[in-house]
Amino acid sequence: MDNTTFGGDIPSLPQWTGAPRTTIHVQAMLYASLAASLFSAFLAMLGKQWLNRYALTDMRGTAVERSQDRQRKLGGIIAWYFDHVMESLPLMLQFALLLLGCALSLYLWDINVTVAWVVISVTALGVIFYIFFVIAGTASASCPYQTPWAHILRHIHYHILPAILRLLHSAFRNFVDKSWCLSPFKWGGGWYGWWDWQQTAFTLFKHILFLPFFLACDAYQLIRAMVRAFIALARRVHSWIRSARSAQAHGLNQRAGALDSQCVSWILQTSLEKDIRLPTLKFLAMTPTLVDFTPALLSDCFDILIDCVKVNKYNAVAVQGMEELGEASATCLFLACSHLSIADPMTSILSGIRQRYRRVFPLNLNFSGLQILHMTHEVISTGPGIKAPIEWRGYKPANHEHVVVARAISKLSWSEYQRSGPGPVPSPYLSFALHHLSQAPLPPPLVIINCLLIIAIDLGCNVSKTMIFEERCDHA
Amino acid sequence: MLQQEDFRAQFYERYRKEAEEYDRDFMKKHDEDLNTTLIFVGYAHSSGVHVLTWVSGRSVLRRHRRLHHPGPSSAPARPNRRHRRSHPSHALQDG
Repeated sequence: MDNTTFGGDIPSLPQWTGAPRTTIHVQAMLYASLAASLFSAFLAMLGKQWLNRYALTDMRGTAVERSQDRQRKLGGIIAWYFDHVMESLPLMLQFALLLLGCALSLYLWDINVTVAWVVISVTALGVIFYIFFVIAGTASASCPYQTPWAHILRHIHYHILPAILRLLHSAFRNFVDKSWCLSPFKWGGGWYGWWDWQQTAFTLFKHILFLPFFLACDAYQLIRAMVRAFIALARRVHSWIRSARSAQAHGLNQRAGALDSQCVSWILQTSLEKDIRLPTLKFLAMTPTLVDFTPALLSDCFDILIDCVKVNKYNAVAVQGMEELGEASATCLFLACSHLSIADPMTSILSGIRQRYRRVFPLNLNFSGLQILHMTHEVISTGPGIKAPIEWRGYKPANHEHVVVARAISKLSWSEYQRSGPGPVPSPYLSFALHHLSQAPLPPPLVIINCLLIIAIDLGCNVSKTMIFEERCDHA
Repeated sequence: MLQQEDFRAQFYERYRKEAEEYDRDFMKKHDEDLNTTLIFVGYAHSSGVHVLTWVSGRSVLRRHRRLHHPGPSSAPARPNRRHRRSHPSHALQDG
């Protein structure tokens, strides 16, 4: 084969006639940017529809049913992180903008470097500013330049990172404690000090002799510690997911009692006005069964109580003008805590509120004139079997509150009787019964019934559960 | 029992008022946010499409230019030049 094989025609290899590689990259980035911005527009449109659906009253019924329907929708909005999804829309747009800037810079670099530098500097300036906002927002919660990233990073910094570091630290401590290689350098593990140099030298010699074996043991220990730390981390994540799911289930519980308590909890969290909080708490105290109540209610009542009561050294005093609100919140807290301490004494809700309570109120506190707060204090601090004497003189609640408190105390007496067998009921319960039976105008009949039940339990009579727990409103 | 129903009705009346106020603020906030997003998407989309058209147009022009005027000036210059140097036809011509 020579130059004459093709008869003067020069064969040429087929060449790539499409767009240059840079153009393809640029176009890919631009299409990605376009798709991201279109997708965020699509989500924004859907978001508008969801919002309209939320605002729409799509059912007919009484005012109570409509309000409960609205609360159900709001519960869904919270449980399904609607706010977070809406906040993520600008993130997608920011990403699209960044892609556009990068694509333009890359494309212009091929055409004219000077123009490209202008675009690159503007893009870089934007990125630097954004990073600054994220860092500033993460560093300080009071910084006005907040971004969604700052929220995420702050959560990681304050909650996730310390947990991981604690796990790694404990794993490392365990490893150091059990390490064979490091044993001569630990006190009591072969280190006899410089003064006993013979013993020390012997230990070191032994150590060097068995070093490969020790290294293998340490590697095994290290892997074991890491695996254990990983398992502990996985367990923690699992428990977190479970608690989040149970909270979601509470938020989406649609029984009438649960919706009532969700409405009460929402209004206590939203409104700070005394004129709204006080009747709300009174309504809560009137609720006959607390079976479906949301755990958030406990902390809501507790927050109000803290606002209404101040601690002067060893005295608990109601803040001026807030006495009624304080008493109502203490009553609700007492009812909820007594209900929980009977129904589920080991629940994490009760232990959580107990921890918060101990941080605010010291143990030996004098409650002069705040009987129901004293009772709440005793139930939260020591559980149903309380011993401290409570002075009931001067306790004059409204009729309905009197009834529910008397009922709660008779339930507590009965549970104490069930727990520790026949015997005298705790003195505050008995003194409650005796005091109210000796009042000149007798309290409401339901209070009298409950007081008599408490005395019956104290005398060792076999009081049946139905007598304590059934609603005795009809007997009135 | 009647008293409890009274309390309930009063409570829900108060709840309705509070909820209306809260929902108005909630809707306004999210609606404004979504409007801002949609306006921004409009601008970003139009500028993106503009740039894309420009880039695609230029790449088409380049291709045409390279097809009709093949020479050292056609972009992208560097890979082509290297390619041409090692091309067997040029080697043959030089030879």
